[in-house]
Amino acid sequence: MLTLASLAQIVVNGLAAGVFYVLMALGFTLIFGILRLVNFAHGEFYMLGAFVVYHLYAQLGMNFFVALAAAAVAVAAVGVLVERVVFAPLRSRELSMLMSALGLQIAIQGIMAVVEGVEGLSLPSPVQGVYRSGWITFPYDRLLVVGAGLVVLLLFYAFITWTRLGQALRAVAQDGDAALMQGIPVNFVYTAAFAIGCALAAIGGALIGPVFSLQVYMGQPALLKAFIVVILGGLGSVPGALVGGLVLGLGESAFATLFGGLTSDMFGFLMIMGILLWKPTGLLGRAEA
Amino acid sequence: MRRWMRSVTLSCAVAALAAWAVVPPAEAQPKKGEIKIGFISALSGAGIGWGMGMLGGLELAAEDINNAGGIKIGDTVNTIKVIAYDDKYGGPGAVQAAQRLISQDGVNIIVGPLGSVPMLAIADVTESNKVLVLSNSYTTKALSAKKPYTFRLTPTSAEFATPLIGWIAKQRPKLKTAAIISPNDETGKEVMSHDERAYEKAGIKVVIRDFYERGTQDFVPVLTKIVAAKPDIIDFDGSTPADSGVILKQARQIGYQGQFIKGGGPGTLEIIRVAGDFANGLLYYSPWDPNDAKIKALMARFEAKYKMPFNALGIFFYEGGHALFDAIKKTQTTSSDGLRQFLEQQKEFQGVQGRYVWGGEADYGIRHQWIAPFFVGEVQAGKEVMLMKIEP
Amino acid sequence: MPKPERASGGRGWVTPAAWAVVIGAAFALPSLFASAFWLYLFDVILINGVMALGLNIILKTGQVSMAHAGFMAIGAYTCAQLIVKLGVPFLAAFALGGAAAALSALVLGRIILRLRGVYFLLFTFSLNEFLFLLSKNVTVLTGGNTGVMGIPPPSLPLVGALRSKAAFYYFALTVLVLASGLVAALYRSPFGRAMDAVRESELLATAVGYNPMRVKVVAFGVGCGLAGLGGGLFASFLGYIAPFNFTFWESVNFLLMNIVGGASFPAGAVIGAVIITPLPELLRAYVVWQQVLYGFLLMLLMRFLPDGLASLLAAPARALLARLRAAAPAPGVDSGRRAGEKA
Repeated sequence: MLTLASLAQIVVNGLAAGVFYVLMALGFTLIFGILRLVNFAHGEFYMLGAFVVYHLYAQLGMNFFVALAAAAVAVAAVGVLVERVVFAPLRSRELSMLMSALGLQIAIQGIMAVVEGVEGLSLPSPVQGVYRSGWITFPYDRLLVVGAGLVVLLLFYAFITWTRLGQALRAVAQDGDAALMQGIPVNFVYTAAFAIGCALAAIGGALIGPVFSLQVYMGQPALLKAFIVVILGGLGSVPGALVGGLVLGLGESAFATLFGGLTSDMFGFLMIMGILLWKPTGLLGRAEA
Repeated sequence: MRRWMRSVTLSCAVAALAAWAVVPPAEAQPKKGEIKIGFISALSGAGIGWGMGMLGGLELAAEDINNAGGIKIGDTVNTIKVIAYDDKYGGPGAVQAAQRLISQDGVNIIVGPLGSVPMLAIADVTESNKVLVLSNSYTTKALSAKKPYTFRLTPTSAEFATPLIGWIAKQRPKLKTAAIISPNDETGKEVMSHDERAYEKAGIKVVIRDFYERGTQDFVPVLTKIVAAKPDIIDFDGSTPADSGVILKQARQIGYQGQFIKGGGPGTLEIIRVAGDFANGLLYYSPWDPNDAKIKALMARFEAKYKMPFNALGIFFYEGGHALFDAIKKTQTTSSDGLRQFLEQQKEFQGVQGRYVWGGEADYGIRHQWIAPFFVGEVQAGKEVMLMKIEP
Repeated sequence: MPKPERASGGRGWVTPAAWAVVIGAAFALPSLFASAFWLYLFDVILINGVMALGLNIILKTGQVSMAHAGFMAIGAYTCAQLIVKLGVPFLAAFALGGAAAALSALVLGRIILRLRGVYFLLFTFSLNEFLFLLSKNVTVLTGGNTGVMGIPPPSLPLVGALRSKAAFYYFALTVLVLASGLVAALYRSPFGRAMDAVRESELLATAVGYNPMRVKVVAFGVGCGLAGLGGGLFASFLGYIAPFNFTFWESVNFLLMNIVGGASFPAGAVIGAVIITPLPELLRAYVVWQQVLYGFLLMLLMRFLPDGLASLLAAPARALLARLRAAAPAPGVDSGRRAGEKA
C-alpha cells in the first residue's frame, strides 16, 4: 500500500540515487561532448578512483577528502597518458577510438583483477549512522555522497563557465575548427578534457564506493548507468546529465519499490530507446551542427 | 690429425662398452603411468574464487595421493595429473574446453564445471563420449537418468535447504515469516524454489519473493518494499557473497532488525568484509568448519600454493577428489563405466569431515548427487562460529 | 565491326578460378584435420563468419549496429523452439529463424534508422540489452534463464541428421559460401553502389536520386536476416542456447571481426572471424593475463591497422592475380601478343 511516508521514501531514495548517477555520468558526457568519444573505459577510471582512496584512506589512514583529491589527481594523470598514447593518434576516426576505448577497458580491468584480486572489499565511509524520522530513513553515508556530489557539480559549473580553460572547453565542444582558428590550443584542450573526465569518474567512484561495495568489476554497472543518463539528458550536455540522472534515479526507485527489482532495469532501457526515437539529442541536448 | 681423432673415438667407444658391461642394469622398475583428470571451471573473471577453490581442492587431493606413491593399477604405478582449462563461465567456452580435453588430451574423467550454463552445454559432448563428469553447478537439470555418466559433488540447496531451515526453525521458534531476495539467473531461480520448499516444510510463511538483475548495486528501493512488510527473516538465496554483503548492510541501514539467513553458496568471509559489524548474527550454510584443525591445515596449504584464500566450495572437490581416487584404486580401472557402477553402488565415503552418501533419486531420477555433512554457522563478533553439524 | 576485346583479353576466368581453389581447399579441410577439437573450432569459425558477414552488410551503409547478437538470438530462439516445441523440420525452422530476424529488423529499421552515427550505435546497444533482459524474463517464449535444451543437430532431406562435426562443417561452409557469393554479387550490383553512396554522404546520395532510408533499411534487414540464420546454425550446433550467449559482448565480437579483418571487403568479415575465433585458444596458456593481453592487442590493432587485415592483403592479392592473369593463356590469341595487335 502506498502511504505518504512510503512515497516520501521513494522520492528520497530516488533523488539520492539520481545524484549518484549524475556523478557517474558527468565525466562521460564531458568526454563525449569534447572528444566525440564514447568512452567505454569510463567505468574503469571510476573503479580506479575508488581503489586509490581505499588504499590511501582505509589502509593508510589518510583523511578521506585528501585521499579523494589525491585519487582525482592520480587518475587524471593516467588519463593524460592514455589520451596522448591511445586516442590522440586516432583523432578523427570515431570507430577506431571506440574500439580502442573497449580495449582499454578490458586491459585496465584485467590488470586490476590481477593486482587487487576479484573479491569484494569494504571501503568504510567517513560518516556512520542513519537519520530516522517518522517519514523517512536516510543513511548518513548517502547524505555525504549527495552533499559532496552537489559541491562537485557546483565547482564544475563554475569551472566551465568562468575559467579560461572551461571556456576553451566549451568552444572546442561547439566547433573544434572554429576554436582552432581562434588560436585555442585544441590538442591541449582535448587532453585536458579527457583528464578532467577521468578525474570526475574517479571522484564518483571514490564517493560512491563506501555506499555499495568495492570490487574490480564495479565499473561495469556504473558505465551502464552513465550511458542511460547521458542518452536521456543529451550527449555532451552537463545540465542534461543532471536532469537525466535525477529522472533515472526517481524512475528506478519507483519501479523497484512498487513493482519489484526486475522491472527497474528494463525501465531504464525502454526509456532510452524511447528518448532516442522521440528526441535523439536527449532531453536537453543540442542539435548536431 | 685424423689419426688422433680416430684413436679418441675408438677409446670412447671402448670405454662406453666397458661401462655398459660393468655397471649392473637397473633393477626391474615398476612401470610408470599417468592418470589424466580433466578440469573445467571459471578460472578468470568474477567466478575465479570458486573456480580456483574447486581446482585447489582437486589438486591438493591429487598431491596427497602422489606424495603417498600414486595409485597402483596392476603393476603400473600411476601419478595423477590434472589438466585444467578455463571456461570463462560460459557455454561455448566450456564446450570448447571439453572438446579439447577429450580429443586432444585424451581424458575420460572431467571434474567441473562451476556454473549451470556450462554444465548443461557440455552434457552432449561428455555423455556421447562416455566421459565421467563430477561437477558443481546448481541447476536441477544437470542430473538425470538420461545422463548416466554425470555426477554432482556439490550439494545444492535442494539437498541442504530443508535440513538447514528446519534446524533453524526449531531453534528459533519466534521466526514466523520470511522474505527471499535473489538474483535473476538460473541459479537464483532454482535456489529460490528450494528455499521456498524448505520454509514451507518448516512452517514459515514466505511473504515476499523478489529478484534483482546481476549488476544491481543499490538495493535500497527493493529493500524499502521488503522491510516495510516486516518479515522475521530475510534470506539472500543465491546471491553472490559480495551482493549479500551489500544487501545486508543496506537493509540494516534502513532499519531492518530481523534475522538474516544465507542459504545459498559459500563465501561468508566476503560478506563479513563487505558488511562489517552489520553481519553479526547472520545465520548461514557452511560446507566446512573453518575452526577445525584439519580444515585449517588445508586452508593453509591452499593459500601457500595459490596465494589466495581457499573458498569453502573447494572442500567438496578435495573430498570428491579423494573419493574418485579411492574408487579408481578399489576398481583398479579408470574406465568410466567401471567407476560409474562403483560410485552408484557405494554405500558411503568417509571423508575428512565425516560421512558422505550418494542420493537424489527423488529429485533427479538418478542416484548421482553427493550428500555431504554441513554446518550451520553464525557470525559472532566478525568471526565464523559453527553452531551445529548436520550429517546425511 | 570486329568484336571489341575485353580488357582482360579473355583472361577473366582467373579470379573466379582463384576463388574456386580457395573454396575447394576449405572443403578439403576436414580430411586434413580430422580431430574433433579442430573440427569444433572450424565449425565455430564458420558460424562466426556468417554473423560477421551479416554485420558487414550493415556497416556498408555506414551504420554501426551493436545489436547483432540480439538478432542472432531472435533467429536462434525461433529456430530452436520451432524444432523442439513444434517439431518443425530443420530447414524450414532454419529459414524461418532467418526470416523472423529479417522481419524484425525491417520493422524496427524503418523507425530507428533515422538515427545517425553514434546515436544509432547507442540505440542498438540499448536494444541488445533490452532483448537480453526480455529473453531472461519472458520464460514462456524463451525458457528464461535456463534457455532451450536438447536442440537436435541439423537434419537435411536426403542426407538425414548431420551428427558428426565434419558433416556440420560441410553444411555450414555451404551456407557461408552461398551467403558470401550473394553478398559479393550484391555489392557489385547497382544496389551495392547505392550502399556506398549512402555511406559516403546521405545528402549527396539523395541529390543523385537514391533513397537513403530505403537503402539502409534493406541493408539492415538483409544483414540481420543473415544474423538470424547464423543463430539457427549456432543453436543446432551447440544443442543448447541461453540468454547469456547473446549479450552485448557478443555483438562487440562481431564488430571486432569486421574491423580486424577489414570492413570494406566481404572477405574481410570472414578473415576477421578466422582470426578472432581461435584467439582464446591461443591465449589459453596465459589464463591470468589473457584479459590484459586481449585488451592491449585490441588497442594496438586500432592504432596500427585501422583498416583491418584485408586492406593489408588487398594490394598483394591484386598483384598476384594480375601476375596470374598475365601468365594465363588467353583463348584464341598468340601468347605474348595482346589481341588486336598487328603482327
